[in-house]
Amino acid sequence: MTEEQHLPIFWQIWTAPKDGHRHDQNEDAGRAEIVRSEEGKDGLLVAIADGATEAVYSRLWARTLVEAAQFDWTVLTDDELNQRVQQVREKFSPLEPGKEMPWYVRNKFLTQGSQATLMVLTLQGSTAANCLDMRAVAVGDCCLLVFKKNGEIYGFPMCKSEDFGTNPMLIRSHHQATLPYERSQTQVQVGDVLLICSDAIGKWALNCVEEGQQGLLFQTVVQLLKPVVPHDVMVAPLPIERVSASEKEEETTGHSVDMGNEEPFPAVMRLLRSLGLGAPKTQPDKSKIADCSEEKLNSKQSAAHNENLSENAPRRLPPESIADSLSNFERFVITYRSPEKKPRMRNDDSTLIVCLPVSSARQSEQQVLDIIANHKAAAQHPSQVIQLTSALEH
Amino acid sequence: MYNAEISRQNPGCLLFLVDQSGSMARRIAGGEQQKKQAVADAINRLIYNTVLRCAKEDGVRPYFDIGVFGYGIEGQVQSAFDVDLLSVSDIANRPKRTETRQRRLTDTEGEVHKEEFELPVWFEPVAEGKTVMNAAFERAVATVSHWISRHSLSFPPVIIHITDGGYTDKNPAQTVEKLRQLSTADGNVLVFNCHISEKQESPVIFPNSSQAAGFNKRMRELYQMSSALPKPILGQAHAKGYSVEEGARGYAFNADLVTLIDFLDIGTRVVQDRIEGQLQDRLGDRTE
Repeated sequence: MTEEQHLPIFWQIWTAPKDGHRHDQNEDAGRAEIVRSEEGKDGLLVAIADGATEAVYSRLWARTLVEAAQFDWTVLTDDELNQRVQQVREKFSPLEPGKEMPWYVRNKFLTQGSQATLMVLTLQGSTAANCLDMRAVAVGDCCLLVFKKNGEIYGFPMCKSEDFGTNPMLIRSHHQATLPYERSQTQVQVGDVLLICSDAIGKWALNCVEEGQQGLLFQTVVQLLKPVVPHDVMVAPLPIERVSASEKEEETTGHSVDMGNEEPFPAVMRLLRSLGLGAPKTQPDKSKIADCSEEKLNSKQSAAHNENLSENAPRRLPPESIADSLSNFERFVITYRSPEKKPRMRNDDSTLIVCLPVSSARQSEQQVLDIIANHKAAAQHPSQVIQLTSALEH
Repeated sequence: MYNAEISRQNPGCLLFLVDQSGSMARRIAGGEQQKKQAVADAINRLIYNTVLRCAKEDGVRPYFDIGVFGYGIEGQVQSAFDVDLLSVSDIANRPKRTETRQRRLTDTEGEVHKEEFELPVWFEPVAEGKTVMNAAFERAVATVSHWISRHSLSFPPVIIHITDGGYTDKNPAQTVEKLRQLSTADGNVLVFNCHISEKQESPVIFPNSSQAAGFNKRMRELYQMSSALPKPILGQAHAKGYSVEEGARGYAFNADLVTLIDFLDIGTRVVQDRIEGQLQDRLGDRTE
């Protein structure tokens, strides 16, 4: 049997609230971190959730689900997964006993609860050469797109933009009959790119592919990744707040991530050590879940980082040279929400996770850009997206 | 047409005109309650559900401006609020009183428990005076005109009129026509009329012109004062099991308690379902 391969993985998460809403009203949640599975193998865990607009405490519920997701969720049966979700439900209690609250909040939560869609995805070393095994499980319309090096495009659970548009299945915080989870798995190689998105961006990305505008899609990814930043400056805060039930009304935004002194390409700092190297955590470190900052923090900048994140501390404004990188994602979604744009993106909370293996940690920034550039150059005509199934490719 | 998304920038408008004349003290068909109580309950419940629909943990989103005009007492038209139209975000915090009711709740393990809760009351049941229907519609014209001048891009206002009898002041037909000619960029104002009854006869709901041919004078007047149902409302009516055809109007006659509740639900849901982010069909699908 071939030994498992280890490949470094790059990832980056962006999120933005819908127009007219504040960041602390963004009901999407996202997470990506290296964890160690029960078998002792390292893997990347990605979780994304989209809280239902019409529900209360949707933001908190989405973040609770994302925080609770575990590596083995992608291999559990429906019944086993429902038991895990049930454990999450039983601990979810946003109504504080004895605390005064408006009647409509209490009544709405007691009668309807909170709701969210969810996708959990894992990447792990494979016995197949130069591959990672990818598994995903989903409820609702968070979307995975896999752009293969050979030009094929896979979608899960949606593979057409018209698949969006009906009420998605939602995981409720109240009692709920067993949910039929959707599952997929495939192998991912260097040269492949994964996009994991909440529905507004997922639909937009599928529109791009269907209309032969894959170049636009990947040009956007390049622009999001590319801002060059002086290497000794805190850069590119990820607008994903920390997830904690006790912080439900006291969220902070602004979370700089130390890129270290040696890395001029900020996005490379999302590049974690190769799977199997370093010291990933057995349990996810909840204090760092949402800002994907598992890397070693430079102590000086770490202190500054923590200060920046402390409750009630004024958000530190980034140097002007990286102001663009802070708002690039918001600018992108705002631009494509405009009625004149084609394809047009729906005005909704938007979260995008880009994830791809690279062949080595050396010159990885160039590898990432080269891979993205290849996909940008490919398929200038409308393409079909293949439904990703549960059968593992070999 | 009738496509606009409801948002904070472009809220919706729901206006109820309620007959509070003396005859509303009689019992409604299909129920034990007096008509005035059944109507008040139905409107309070609708407002309650609208508040919940718009509620988030940090407040009620101002997606709707709501008005309830009662007419009858001393020949006057009176708003249930101290202004003609009040944002749902303000309505949530201004019930006149609450009533203790019981409800069933299901916990995370599927167990059902009964619980008492306080149901807010915004509109009181009253039955006194004459049926000054034209005066009510004239007040509606002024109110809706002013609202449209501030919300010209919004989903057009929906007016639901509930009565149990004929007018005692002027024939409101011309005033209603004036009201129905008002419009936003998304379409004309919609006027729906619900005639409630104490008679145990089959209700007529959402008739088309051929069904209306057999109506008596009073029925035909109210029918002609009713707007044709736009497509989304036809869909809602079908979903509730009503057999409605193209050309059907927003009119009900001999409405009993169930019909009244359905009429209110169908007439307002089309607007409520257009709240941003809550669309049954995503907006993007409709604009592309």
